[in-house]
Amino acid sequence: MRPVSRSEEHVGEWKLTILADTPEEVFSEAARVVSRECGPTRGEPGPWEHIALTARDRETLLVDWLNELLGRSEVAWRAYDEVREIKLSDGSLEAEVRGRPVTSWRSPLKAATYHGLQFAREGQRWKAVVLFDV
Amino acid sequence: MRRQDLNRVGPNVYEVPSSFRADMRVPARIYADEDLLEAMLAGETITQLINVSTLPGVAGAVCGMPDMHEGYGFPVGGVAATAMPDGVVSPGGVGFDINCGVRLLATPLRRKDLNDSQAERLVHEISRSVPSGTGKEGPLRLEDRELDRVLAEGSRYLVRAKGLGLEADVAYTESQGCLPGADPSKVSQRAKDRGRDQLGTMGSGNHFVEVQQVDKIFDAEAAAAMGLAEGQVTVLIHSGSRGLGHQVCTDYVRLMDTRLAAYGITLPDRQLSCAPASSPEGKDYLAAMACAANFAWSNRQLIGQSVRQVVTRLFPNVRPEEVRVVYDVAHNIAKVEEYDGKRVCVHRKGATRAFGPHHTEMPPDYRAIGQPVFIPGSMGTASYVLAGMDTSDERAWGSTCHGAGRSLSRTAAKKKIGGAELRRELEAKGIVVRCPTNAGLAEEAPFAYKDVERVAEVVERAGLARRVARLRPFGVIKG
Repeated sequence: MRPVSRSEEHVGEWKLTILADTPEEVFSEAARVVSRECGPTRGEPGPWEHIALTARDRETLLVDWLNELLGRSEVAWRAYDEVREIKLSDGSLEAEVRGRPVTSWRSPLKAATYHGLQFAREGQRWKAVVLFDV
Repeated sequence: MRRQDLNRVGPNVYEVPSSFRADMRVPARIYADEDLLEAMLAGETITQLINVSTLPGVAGAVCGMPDMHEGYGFPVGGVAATAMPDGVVSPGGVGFDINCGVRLLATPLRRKDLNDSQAERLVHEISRSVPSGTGKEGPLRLEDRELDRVLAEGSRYLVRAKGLGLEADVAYTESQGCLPGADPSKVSQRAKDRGRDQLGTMGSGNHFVEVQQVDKIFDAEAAAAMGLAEGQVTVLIHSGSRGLGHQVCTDYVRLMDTRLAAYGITLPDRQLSCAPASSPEGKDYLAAMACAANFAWSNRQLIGQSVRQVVTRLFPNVRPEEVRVVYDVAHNIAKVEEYDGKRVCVHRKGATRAFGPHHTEMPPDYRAIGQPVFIPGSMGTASYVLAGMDTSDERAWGSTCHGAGRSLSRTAAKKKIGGAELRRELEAKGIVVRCPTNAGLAEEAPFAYKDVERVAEVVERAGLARRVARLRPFGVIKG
């Protein structure tokens, strides 16, 4: 099944839930969500960029992944919507990403937080919940 | 949380005793009336304040301001002091938008002397001169060396080395626009790269520039000291440290999260991650946070200077020095202050410093009246100018609230009204609106916030600050 992302109600911030068949797909979908917030894009994607992260567990890796993409996007003005070669373990993540130039920066996302963070199997799928500061 | 878990301990003051939960170190005190309290009870807000009361080294009581609402880790509108030198400092207690704050400019213009066309032109020209940040670059390109000086010296660098403002702008800024101890080497390259092109830009979300008129004076003496009179045109600027501050917080929340076990700290919420202020991590964070705070003051300095240039260009009889900074206050910051002879690190997350009279940090002409405080309302309602009171020092670590406080999520606000409809409603009230997207406008609809009149009244009754003047907008510019 295709990954699904949806917004949950939160009075001040933005709570995001992602459902996917594999943990790797959760990370790919998370990248697409962040990229959609960046703003309109134009032109061809840039070169593939390598990202390597280490953390104490998978949910921490997810927050670090999101914050890496947020920071990288804002500096480069790119919406990283393509992800490949994800290698994920409990304590490390490697992946390649590439993105298109953003023409008008719209992202309200300041950072992903650890508050209420979830990443676990739910039935046949994987479910992650992340709260962003907006 | 249930209402019966809180004790009413004074007019508009409620308290959760430290016996309520085994891990609480101090009581949690909330300034509200019954209606505001009921809204806080609905979500996690008060639980989050209680979580803050578990921080190692926390002193006295943690405080919730009347506009407090649910956040992450700390609630928005939370204040906590930790004993120096070994109590903790928590980046989450400041937030990602370090030194998000407000600057009020007073002009010599009177609203009644402007026709509608002139008023609209004023708003329009300000909107053109203050970038929202959706473009690639802000108005100032900084080399690495210059950016480091902004981080180390704050807004005085822009005024003294770049000529971007007046010396009085610095004098009327909290901490004179420069938090001591700033060390640019403690700010990551990613943070510098995120912020480099953003100096002088507003940002999106709830950031704004509002053009207003003073529509009511509550305290004539304090208003006179601040140079405010009925009918006067003012400009309120709300912005922060942009991507640079976001990255500083991200970097240090992560770092401290990895060091919790080493310091033997257990927390009910990882977003409260912290380290002793005397530890290498604590010292580095304070040095980096000071840099981000200085960047934010510089950001509002540059935006204020752009507004000044628009006013003097459109109205050639207005001299630059007549567009005055009334004051500039931070509402996301951690500062070392002294209470009853003891040094503490006061974390204000969505809360404003509100020193009573006689504090020597304030400009001399404010020492008789107390520190100016601004409570922005929502678009289409009012904002308030207040003055700090001695009782604020005693009751809430010299703090008061920072706004009306959200009551509806952004999604719920957008479901309730479309941006185009809201734009028409505001324009029908005589408010000129400049906002790049209708969705962004709808998210900040007036009904998404608590009633600012009620919040300001509770602030005054609780002795956190007293009302000086009310400001009504006739122009709203959003990022």
